[in-house]
Amino acid sequence: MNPKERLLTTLDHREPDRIPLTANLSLDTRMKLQDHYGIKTWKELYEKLGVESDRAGTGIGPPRDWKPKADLLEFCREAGYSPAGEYTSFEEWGVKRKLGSKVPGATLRQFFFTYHPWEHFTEVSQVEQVELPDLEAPGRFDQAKRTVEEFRDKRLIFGGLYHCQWTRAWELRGMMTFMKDLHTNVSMAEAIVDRLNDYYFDVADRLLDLGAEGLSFNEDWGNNKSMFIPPNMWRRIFKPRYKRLFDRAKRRGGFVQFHSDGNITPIVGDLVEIGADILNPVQPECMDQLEVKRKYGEKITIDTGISVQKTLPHGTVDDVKKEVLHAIEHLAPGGGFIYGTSHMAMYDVPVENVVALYDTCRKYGKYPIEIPHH
Amino acid sequence: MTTKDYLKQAIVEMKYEEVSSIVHAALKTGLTPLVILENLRDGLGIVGDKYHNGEYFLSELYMAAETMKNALQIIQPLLSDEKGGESEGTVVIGSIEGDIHDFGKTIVSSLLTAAGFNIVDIGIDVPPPRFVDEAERVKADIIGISALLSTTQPSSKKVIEELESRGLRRKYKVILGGTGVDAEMAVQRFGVDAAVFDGSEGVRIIKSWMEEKKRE
Repeated sequence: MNPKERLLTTLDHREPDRIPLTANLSLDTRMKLQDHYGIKTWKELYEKLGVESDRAGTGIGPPRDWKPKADLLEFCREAGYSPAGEYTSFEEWGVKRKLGSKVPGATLRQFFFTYHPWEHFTEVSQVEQVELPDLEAPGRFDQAKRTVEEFRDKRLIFGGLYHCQWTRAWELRGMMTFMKDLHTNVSMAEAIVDRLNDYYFDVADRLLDLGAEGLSFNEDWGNNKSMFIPPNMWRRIFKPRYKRLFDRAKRRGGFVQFHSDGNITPIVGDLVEIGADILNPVQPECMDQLEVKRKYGEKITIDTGISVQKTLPHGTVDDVKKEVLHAIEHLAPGGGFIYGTSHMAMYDVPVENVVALYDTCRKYGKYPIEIPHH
Repeated sequence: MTTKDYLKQAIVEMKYEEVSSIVHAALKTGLTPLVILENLRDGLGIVGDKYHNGEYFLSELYMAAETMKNALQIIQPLLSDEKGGESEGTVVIGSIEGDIHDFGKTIVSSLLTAAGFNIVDIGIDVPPPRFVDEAERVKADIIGISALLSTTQPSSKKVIEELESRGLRRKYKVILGGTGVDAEMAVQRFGVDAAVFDGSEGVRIIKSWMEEKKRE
């Protein structure tokens, strides 16, 4: 079974030969692991851990004649992003950001927003008329074409709509202003979400035309406690608009992958209803994963992993093993399950915990699942 | 419904636009600014409880605090001569070095302002000694540290060490807040006085500290 077949089997809610494994490791964690194993490359490290790249994602790229400015290159080097990637497309949208200070022990730096270009808009017409990055610009889809050519047959290819609705809206409008819009200026909030929806509708079709086999959404809707906005408001404003985008993939038999940090329990059923196939990360610290499996396990694939807020940085090797075995025992049977780190393993994570995570996954992640009494 | 109920309801139902006229109407009925303030704060307390028990969500907590701020713009100038108009206490609040998250801090600041506290927001990515410098400068009662990440939360310990090295540890209560905070672990390992992942809970703790302080 190759990685793509393994993934497709679990997405079909059948048991593959073993659980597909993923890893989201910070640069520092990766280097520490490479030192630990005495190996040189990221690729070798993933082979050692048993992690396979089973998915390829591609969003829209910059135009062909675009040249990153010196300050952007410096930003990318410090923050660890590709100059032509999703996180640097802010440049074209007019959002401004700044790097945070260096933290001892961490190679890369975080960034924060300093300017939201739509924050001063007072009229819906301003949202309707503002210029968006031109999809017709020559080269806009070069990156997507290359990804499709390189990975067709080897990986499941997702067209990235990423921050397309909620996150892009607050990046452009400012989080507090957009939240206020949602409560007190609904026509403005809807105009923003609609403008973005139409834009990404077009992006979705173009990526799917090029050969993407699904669409991928990265929108953080919750913190550890609960959702940022009331679920009913989400259902009223965002659900139909997500459905419109999900449908672009579904009508071609494609997949929908949805990422949201935090506790989004109230809307899991809604996401399933409008066609989400993969839900990530179903955060172990704040969501009842067993309940998600019990209620929706036949319809949605739980793409999760060990707690990166608690167990992986602060737990012992035994705590790690216990959490992994518990997840495998209860979530893996029947397929529809992908496991690894639930989010990025930061530089504070002890190497032995990551080693224990993947050793346990490799040892007990083979189907049919058999877990020793623990 | 009584006028007092309308005041509470204005906050609970986040009547952001209408709250000013509701407060003006209450003043016309003869309610004193202090009584109006107390009822608005009761409303905010109800919102905090509703958030805590999962009935309300973050944007509602924020909008209730913003509604309260609108009301305070009318009430506060009228309170200056009256007992109860003074600040509930001063809180220096910031996101710790390396942490650039702003959102939780902004909401907690709004809630504390609405609850009558004087907030000194020192921004994001703040070096630990600055928390102490600012607390001393503004004669704060409480230091609030926001840290969302497991990697930045340990820096709260540096604030504690800074306080200790200057002989100021007993002068300030220190609270750590952030969505991924493990309260028990944080208190034990970093030495803060309290740690929370729920902003409304943080406000409750800060209020209880100030009540204790006033009793002393």
